Amino acid sequence: MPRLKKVRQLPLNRWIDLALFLFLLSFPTWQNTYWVYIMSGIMAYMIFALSLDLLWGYTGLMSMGHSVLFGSGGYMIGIASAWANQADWIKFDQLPWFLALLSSPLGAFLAALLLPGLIALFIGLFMFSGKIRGVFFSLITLALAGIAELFVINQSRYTHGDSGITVTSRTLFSNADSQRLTDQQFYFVVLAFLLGSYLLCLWLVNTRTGKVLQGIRENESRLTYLGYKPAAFKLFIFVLSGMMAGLAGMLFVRVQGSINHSSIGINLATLVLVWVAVGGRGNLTGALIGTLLLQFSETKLNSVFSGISADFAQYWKLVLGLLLLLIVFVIPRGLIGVLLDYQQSRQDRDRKAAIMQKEVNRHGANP
Amino acid sequence: MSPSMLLQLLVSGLASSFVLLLTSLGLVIILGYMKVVNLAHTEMLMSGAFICYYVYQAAGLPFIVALLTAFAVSFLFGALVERLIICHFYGKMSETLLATYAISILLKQGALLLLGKNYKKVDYPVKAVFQWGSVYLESYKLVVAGLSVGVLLLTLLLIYKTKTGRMIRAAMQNRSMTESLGINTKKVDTLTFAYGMGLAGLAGAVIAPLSTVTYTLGESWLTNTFMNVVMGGVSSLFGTLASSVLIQESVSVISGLSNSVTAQIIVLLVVIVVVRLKPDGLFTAKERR
Repeated sequence: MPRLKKVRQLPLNRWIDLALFLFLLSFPTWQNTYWVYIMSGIMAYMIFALSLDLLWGYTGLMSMGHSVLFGSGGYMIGIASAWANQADWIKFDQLPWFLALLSSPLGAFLAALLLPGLIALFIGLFMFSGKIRGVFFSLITLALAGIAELFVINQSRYTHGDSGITVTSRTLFSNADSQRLTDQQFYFVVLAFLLGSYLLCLWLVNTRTGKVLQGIRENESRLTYLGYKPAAFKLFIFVLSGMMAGLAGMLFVRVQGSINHSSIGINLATLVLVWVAVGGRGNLTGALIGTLLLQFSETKLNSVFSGISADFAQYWKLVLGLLLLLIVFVIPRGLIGVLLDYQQSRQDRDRKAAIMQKEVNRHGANP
Repeated sequence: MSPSMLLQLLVSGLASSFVLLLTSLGLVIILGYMKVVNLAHTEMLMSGAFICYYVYQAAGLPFIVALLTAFAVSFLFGALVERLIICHFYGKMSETLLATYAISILLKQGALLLLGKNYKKVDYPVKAVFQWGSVYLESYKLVVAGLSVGVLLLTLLLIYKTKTGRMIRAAMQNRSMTESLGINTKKVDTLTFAYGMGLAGLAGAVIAPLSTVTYTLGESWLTNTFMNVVMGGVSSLFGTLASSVLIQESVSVISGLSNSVTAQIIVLLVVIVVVRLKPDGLFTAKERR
């Protein structure tokens, strides 16, 4: 039965993915509204983590300011919603030309995908040349995250500065307050997007393009000798990853009901790096599991410790720092990476044993 | 903009250039000679500023003692970090970035939880303000410029004229050859990293009077120092000097026209374009291949 054999040889992490999605599908049936709301936020973050995994785990481009793409998508929805409902801090009578797209709900949806894509396109066009060190990409994106946070605080005319924007409309397209899905309903909207993004990633990394991307990670100059243009592939994946991050930002804002400068700055950029690093990069599952584990434990621990210390969030960041150090030292491939390595070594052993057995059968007991 | 205002902006921009030079030197040295991006650099600046506050402002010791303490403490911390952590990850970019990032988180959160959120102010060690016509300049900024050039020259001397410097350069060019000549390259690595971190601590102490000392001080320097390294490149310390001047002068003048955030954004865009045109930095040293 060759088909069954193929199923049995499926990497371990695909089973974990399946279990994860079944878990997420059943989650609202046995959990209360609060946790459904929390989990919707975590799922939006999972899309974000997936987008970074495509870029960092598969292509080897470590974006240290991925939150800029997440936050710019989120802010588009935020501004569109504030405009649609004429929030009291809005002091302009007409949307300026660069935000004109936000006047219609569909336009806002597109803008939340396009703006991150354009930012990625601009950076990518200049940074992805053969001569520029890969590490400069990390530094530039980190600098960008630092500036983006100052920028949204500074542009208070459009972003309401320090206080951020409240978004009460929880639908996919409408920005009007009156039309609102319940927590449960929106949970499934986010879940559908998560599943879609996951399947897109899964499909992409197994296509020829995906293999080229992994080739860039492993050995870029060899790929150039083979006639590929790594710069074009890097640009493509950065823009795609940016748009996915924008989608995640858009969903997150709808779930959370607000956005402020912390969603675009270094804070979130650090968080997503830690999620992907802890879960393990380059296998999609790690990004999902890392996000789920860390965000879930943060929320859970927060509810336990917030009564004891008001500084829980700060201690939690300290813990994340230690965790990151520990991961880099002990299991640099992350939690899922370790599992996959284990499965690989077992398969190798079995294969070796099978070959030995064959040899013994052919030559008799004593060769 | 009136000419006198432009002159004022240019003068204060030049003064800040030397501050930026000083704050980036350690980062450039560690990146240039060890190929390690030290993301903990700016948090080391913050720690240096705190050391300055406690030694100079709180304990009332002379300013120079504060500078030396900051250098010494950061040097030792750098040596410790290199021995315990960094030395395991040479040649692995993602890992060194993550490890130094983790260290920076620990430093920042440690400062926040141990020392609190309060802003601390450090007085100028020299208080005079110079005035030419309508242009003002605090004398402390002159001191910083002098210190900054002094540290640059000392570093160049150390690297090009001493035995230690020869070992550092040799280890960078050909590691195994250097080792076979009987030089302990591990020790050289530790020394280089510790020196870079020491410079970061020193720079932090120097900038303490210029800014409010708080746990977010590192973050506020992050963008400028990293842009500076990307633009100046690592092949020549003069590239760092040139890009410091370029970045700070443009930030200063554009800030005068609009505001400092817009200035930083424009400068970042320019840096991105410049890196494309000159990927090895502004002044490319001729390398022997």
